[in-house]
Amino acid sequence: MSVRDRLSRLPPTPGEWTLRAGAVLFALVVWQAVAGPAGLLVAPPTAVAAALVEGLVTGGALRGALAGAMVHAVAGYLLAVAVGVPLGAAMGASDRLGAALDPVVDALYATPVVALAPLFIVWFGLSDTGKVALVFAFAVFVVLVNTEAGVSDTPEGLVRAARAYGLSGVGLYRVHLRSALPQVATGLRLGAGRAVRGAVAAELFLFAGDLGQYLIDAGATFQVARLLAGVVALSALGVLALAVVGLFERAVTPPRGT
Amino acid sequence: MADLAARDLVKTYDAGGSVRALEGVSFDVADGEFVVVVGPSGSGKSTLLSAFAGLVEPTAGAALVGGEPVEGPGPDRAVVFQSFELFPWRTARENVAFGLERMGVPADERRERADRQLERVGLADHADRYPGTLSGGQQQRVGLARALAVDPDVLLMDEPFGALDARTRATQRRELLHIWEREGTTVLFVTHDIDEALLLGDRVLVLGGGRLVDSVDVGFERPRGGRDLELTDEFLAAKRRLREVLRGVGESA
Amino acid sequence: MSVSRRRRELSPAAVVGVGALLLAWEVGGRATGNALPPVSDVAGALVSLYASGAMLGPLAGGLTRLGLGFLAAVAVGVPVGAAMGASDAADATLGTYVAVLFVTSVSSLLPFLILLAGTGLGFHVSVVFLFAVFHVALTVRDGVRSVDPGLLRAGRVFGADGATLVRQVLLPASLPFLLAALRVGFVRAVKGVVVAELWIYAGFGSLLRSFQQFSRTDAALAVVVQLMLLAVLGSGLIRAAERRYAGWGAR
Repeated sequence: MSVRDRLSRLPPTPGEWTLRAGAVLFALVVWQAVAGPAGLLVAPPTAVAAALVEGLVTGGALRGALAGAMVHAVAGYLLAVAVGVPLGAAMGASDRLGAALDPVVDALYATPVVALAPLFIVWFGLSDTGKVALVFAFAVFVVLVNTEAGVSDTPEGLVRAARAYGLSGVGLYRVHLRSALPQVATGLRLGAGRAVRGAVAAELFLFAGDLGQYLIDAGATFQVARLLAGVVALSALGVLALAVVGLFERAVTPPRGT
Repeated sequence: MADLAARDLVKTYDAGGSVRALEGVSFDVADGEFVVVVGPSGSGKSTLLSAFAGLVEPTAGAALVGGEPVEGPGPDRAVVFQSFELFPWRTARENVAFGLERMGVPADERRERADRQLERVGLADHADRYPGTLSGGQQQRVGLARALAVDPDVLLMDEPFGALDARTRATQRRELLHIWEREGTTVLFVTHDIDEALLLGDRVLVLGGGRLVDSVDVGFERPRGGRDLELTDEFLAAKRRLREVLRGVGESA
Repeated sequence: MSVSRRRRELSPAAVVGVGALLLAWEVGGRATGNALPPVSDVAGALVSLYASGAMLGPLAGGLTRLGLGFLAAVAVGVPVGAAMGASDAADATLGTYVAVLFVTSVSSLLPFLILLAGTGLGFHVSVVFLFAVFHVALTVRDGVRSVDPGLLRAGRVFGADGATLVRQVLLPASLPFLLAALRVGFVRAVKGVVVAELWIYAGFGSLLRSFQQFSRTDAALAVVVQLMLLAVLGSGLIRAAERRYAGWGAR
């Protein structure tokens, strides 16, 4: 084992975790200190924590609001996967199709999807379908683009080796699939994050359901602690979604050496 | 021109000293000598070179150049890397001139000296090309030219031919000998290839587990450009002996 | 964060692809009536928005907010990202903040930002800044971390250190990522402009809102197309710079 190998196997220095914890602690302390004099506009972490407990556990208003929005998120996400993976795979597998549609996909990927919200109101009215459609629009491109990359990047050598062992047709297809899986999984993970954002956008820019109402009301009545509690809970939810799908991603990604 | 010396050189990494790269290495290299360091992976060869280059600080002991302890990189010692480490955004000429730039050499002189070095390694026509467009062997030669351009007292070479195919390696070895036999620079050359060690070196130092295990004199006459040295009985005998030593430290070469 | 793709340039197949889609849109649009206006109607609406001058105010306002917010995001994001990339200590401290803020939905902060910044330029610029800065920082960080340490070693061996090492080796070596960070940040910044304007019905937001109220799907789509062109043009320019100045990177 070379020196470099040995060095890379060392556990993260205790210094690093101390710094991270220290940074978080420092921020919380400063925030708590600033909140007092800033008064109305900045709620201290203690108040936010209390509002979180109230919203998620005791009162449950936030919990209900999040659940409602997440239904749209999941529905839109599943739709995005159902469309994005096959289409992305087709674009990745076919040079011509990919070349033909890449510029369009790229352009759409760069477009702010939120701008479609007013159109969605015209098309879907104030309905849940509209919200699911917006989530779909938020998530589908990242899933598609990553799937396309995963499928088109199957190493030639791998295909040749598979053929040499007598694989063809379905068997060969499975080689492509397995090789593409890690990148597809990355797309699925990122798509999950985007779906949560899409659900929030739907609440704020289509029409307010429980979550939108929660955030807007808290803002309108200057209940900053409740507002920030909502923001924090949403972030946590987003992280959770990424982490859950991330587990799948890690499971299908072969370990790579340094 | 300078001599080298290692005095009980120790290098460990990590607070607890759990990674022990070098455990007390001592040797001398005379001015103008070509010394090769061999050993299995993990024996500390690269760390040794880094210590002399001034890239790492010894945990204990010293690396001396011209009698003075090394205190960081300097224009008296130049390194040639296994993976070339050419700056991809600079042309071959600009790469070769890099060290000269750092030394404050004026632009015309830089260009002249860089072109001269490129000429010596046979790449005068490629001076304006970027490393990305050069072959492995060509990149390696640019790396050598870059090192020679600063007129170093010591040439430190870290498995410089390791990334090349066998044919190119053989050619580069001959060219290196050619250049060295004219320059007479002190060379510390790291490799895991026994043939290479015996073909190039005046002496071979064998490293194992961070320690100096043996120092073998290589008696073949110079110049050594002839193609048939590897086929002589002398050579095979020396190779057999060196192999024995290496087997003792756990590597079959 | 950035995905490698095989082709990005306009190829004959792409022309065919785009053409086919536009044709399908035109035909489908004529069939569905007001729901999906045909391409020709949308194009016409866009032209008349410019002709009547209705687009100019929002465009000027949007570009101003975009410019200020994006510049601020770059001015903060690049140094922070570089610090995170170069120093493990900075990565553990600043990096923690960036990581936490990166996963925060800026949109959910809108009701809070209104309280803090009102509805003026400050609000818009803050939103654009927040949308872009974390992506910029993280991309720059990845870039600095991906610089081959061997190149840095070579730089040191031949006499560069400290600021010289940064200027002569680190910066050129991470240029591809720096430009990519600008590109990613720009696209995010455009999203930020739209989100802020849509929230308080300003600029493009006010156009979209009134078109929605009058069910003018053709004009609304025209605005979306305008925004798409803005995003594509800006990122295209940066990509061209990437090819010119960082083309040596064999990615």
